[in-house]
Amino acid sequence: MRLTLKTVFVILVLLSTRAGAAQETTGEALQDVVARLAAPDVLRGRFTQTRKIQLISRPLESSGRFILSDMGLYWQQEQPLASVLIADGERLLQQVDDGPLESVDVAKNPMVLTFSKSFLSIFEGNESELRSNFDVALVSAADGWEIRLTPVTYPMAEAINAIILRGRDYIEELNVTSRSLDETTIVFSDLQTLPDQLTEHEIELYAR
Amino acid sequence: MRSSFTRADLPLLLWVAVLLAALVLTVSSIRGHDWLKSNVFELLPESDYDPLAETATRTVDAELGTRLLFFVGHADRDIAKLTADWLIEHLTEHPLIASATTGVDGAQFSDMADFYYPRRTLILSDQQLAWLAEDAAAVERKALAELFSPFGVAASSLASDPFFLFPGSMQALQSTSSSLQLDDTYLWARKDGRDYIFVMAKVLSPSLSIGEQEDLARHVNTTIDKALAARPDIHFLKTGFSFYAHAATQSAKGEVSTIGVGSLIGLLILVISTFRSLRPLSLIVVSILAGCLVALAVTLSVFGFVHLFTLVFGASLIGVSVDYSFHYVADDAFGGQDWTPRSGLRNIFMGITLGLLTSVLAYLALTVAPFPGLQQLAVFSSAGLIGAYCTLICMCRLWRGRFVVRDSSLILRFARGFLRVWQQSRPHYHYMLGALLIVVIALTWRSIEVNDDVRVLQSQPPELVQQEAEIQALLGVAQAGTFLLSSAPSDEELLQLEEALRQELDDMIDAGSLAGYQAVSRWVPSQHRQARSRDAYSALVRSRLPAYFRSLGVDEEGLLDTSADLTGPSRGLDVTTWLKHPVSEPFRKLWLDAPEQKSASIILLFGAQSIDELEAVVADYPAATVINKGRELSTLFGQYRTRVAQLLVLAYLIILAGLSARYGPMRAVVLLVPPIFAGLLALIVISLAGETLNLFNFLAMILVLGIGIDFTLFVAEARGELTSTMFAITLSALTTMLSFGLLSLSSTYAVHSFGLTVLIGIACAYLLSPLALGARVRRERS
Repeated sequence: MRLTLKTVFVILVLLSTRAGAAQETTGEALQDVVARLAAPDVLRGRFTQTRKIQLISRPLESSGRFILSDMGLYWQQEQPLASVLIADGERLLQQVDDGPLESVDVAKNPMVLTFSKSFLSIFEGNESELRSNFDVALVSAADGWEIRLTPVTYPMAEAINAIILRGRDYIEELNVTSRSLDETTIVFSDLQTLPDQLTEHEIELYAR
Repeated sequence: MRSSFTRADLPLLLWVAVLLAALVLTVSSIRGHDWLKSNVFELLPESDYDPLAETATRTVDAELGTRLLFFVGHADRDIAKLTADWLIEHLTEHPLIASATTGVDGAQFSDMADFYYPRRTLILSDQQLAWLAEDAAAVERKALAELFSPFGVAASSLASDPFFLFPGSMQALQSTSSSLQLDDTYLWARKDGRDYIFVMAKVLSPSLSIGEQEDLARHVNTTIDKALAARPDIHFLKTGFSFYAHAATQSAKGEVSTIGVGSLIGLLILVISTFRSLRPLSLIVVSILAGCLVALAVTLSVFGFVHLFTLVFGASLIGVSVDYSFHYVADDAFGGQDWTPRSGLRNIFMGITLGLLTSVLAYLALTVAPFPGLQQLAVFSSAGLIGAYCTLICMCRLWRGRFVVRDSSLILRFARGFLRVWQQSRPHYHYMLGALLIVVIALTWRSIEVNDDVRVLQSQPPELVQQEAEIQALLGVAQAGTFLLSSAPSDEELLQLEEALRQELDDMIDAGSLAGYQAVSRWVPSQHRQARSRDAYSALVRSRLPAYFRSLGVDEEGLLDTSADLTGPSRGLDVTTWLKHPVSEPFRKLWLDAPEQKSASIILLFGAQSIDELEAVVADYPAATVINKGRELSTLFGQYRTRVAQLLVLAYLIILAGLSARYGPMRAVVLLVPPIFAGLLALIVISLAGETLNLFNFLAMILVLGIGIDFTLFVAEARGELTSTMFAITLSALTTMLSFGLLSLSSTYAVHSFGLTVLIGIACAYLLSPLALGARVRRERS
């Protein structure tokens, strides 16, 4: 993979410093944050996603586990239905239930490619990809930090209002507000960076 | 020849009046008019298609001919993007550029969504229809996955597009054959470590005047140079018909002056080294200038314009029209003490008149091919020769002093020696030579290969060809002018026909023999197809939606609304509606203005590997035809090549009959042998040099006959000193070879072929011309 993997906020913090948007954080505090944080090669954990859609009174909840590594994002949803999503910025694979692992032909569908790449760059903190697609603002909160991404390029800007990331050591929450005011919140938990290499089992998961 | 008028002065005065009239006519036609044209299409015949096919061809030509394609490449895609934006901004500054964009316009996407979203139940793709019929449960499962996907952005449209089918339908509508990727609104491709951003501009018209071409090319080049000055590491690629047209114009202009100036310099050297004074030169130059003037005036009054192609060929006229003057000058130089202009004219009159007739006939014979370019060339050259001839006949008396040839003249000594060799050799050597040539021709004839590709007409600068190839590689498709023309009694029947054809084309795409196509029925399915889509959609909604929505917790009202929305009547989708909406703008031209009670359309094809295969596929559909202008023209070139060859045989037979009346059949054959052998040898030499032959080699054979036979006629008709005739023939052969030799340097393959054939043919015809001595000697004896 051509993108280098870093923790989300190391890059974002560096990024926002360069962008000069981190007005509420002193340079020294940022240096501290950067110094404290080592970029894990592998980040794994669990997620709980809550999606509020206008049409539905009860929010849609789903949960599962994920792995983020130099092989891309492995997103395995367990509830309410089993599905797997593998994305590495060049391709997008999806499996629903026991169905076949299908590849979304991103070359023929540039929209999907752009969306998946942008989301992936958020998870990975891919600097250039993020900078070219978003306005980045860092807001430091009392018990952690908050980063606000506003999409500026087509077609993200057409669909999404803002993406807000919150966290302390690692990213803990991701919130996406769409143009139609639907809202998706993903809460991450049980984050682990060790072992710092993908296990054989994990490599098999990607390789499916 | 006193100071006062005599009757003998009358032709002179008349001719001066004619020349003055020609001058006035030429100047008035040129001033303020766009009299010089360079568009290669002006040279080509109107196709023998029906009017509909003609309209379609013109539409496609205009569509492809107005496109300028660029790629801006840099290792850093952001720099490439910025430069592409900058390029677009500067391109659009030019008044001849109608528009310039990176591949995708955000507004275009939202226009499409606006247009098709209300009609989403009518446009399910083939793939979606198959999927719905096969496994409706899978459709629901996929929708659920999409709803929960972290990348899911379609979730918002749950109420109106509950199974998220619209993006898939749109994808099928937009299906492009190119391998470009989208980044923001930029289309790009990667090659050799650089990211190339695609830029497309449209020129206002496919046929720009020479001035406009130049202006546009200069603007594009300075824009690119400016960018390169700031950032030398940016790589620009450009292609487009306009660039080729401009390059062709530039090289043609260069060639006109090379041939013109080169011929004149050659003449100058020839005259200075041969004659003791420059006066012969003044006679020659006056007759050349008069010839060119008459040629221009006649061409302008017949056609209204002159094509650069004509001028390139026409420049070689210098070498031919000078012959008449040479004969006069030579006759003078070798005439006795009692030589007068009148007697000199009498001596050469028969020879040069027959020479003029055969040359003009040869040029007029070029018009058998219905190419406007050749017709103009024939008119231009014939008029020029007649002008030069009349100038000599009417005006030579103005040069009263005698012309004296230097004894040291190389040409004179060569002509004398050459003549002596022929005169002293025994006649059976001549037969042996003839037999030897026949054997050589027979043995090597098989090496001849022909190639009728129409591209011989356009100069193909390697740099542009290379850039075009790189651009096609980046785009992943070839921009070829191949298309299908279909017609039917009604819009609906036409759309259904297109859909049937597209099934075949899709098979070809799967098999790899076609890259892609553009067809109106992709954006406007037939009513029949729409009904299938609507029925399948309704069936899915009825069978799956209630359980699906209930499982998500959508209330009954929401379910009813969505269900009614998707199964109720949709907004109509037909060609007329589509044509009126901005969404059709890039493709509108594919739907033709057909006569009443008829609909017609174009399916534009990309990257078709084999036209034969296409024709075989389309053969099952009588209402559709494959049209490829390049191929039609190549076929035409091939047909005319054969026709010209037949015509040559016919011309020789007619000339044989004519000469037989004057010389008797045996001597007539002898007179014809040099030009026949000369033409055949020219073709063989060119083939042996590894070049393929085309129509223009065969057209040149007509000139080899027309000019080559002059040599033998001059020898046979020589009344005065034979050395003078041989000397004149040598001079004129040299000048003709010089002019056509310069023509053979042309970067336009057709011009090169023509020039080279005449060059070699005339050289051979000259070397063989003393064969006519046989005819002459025997006549004197009898």
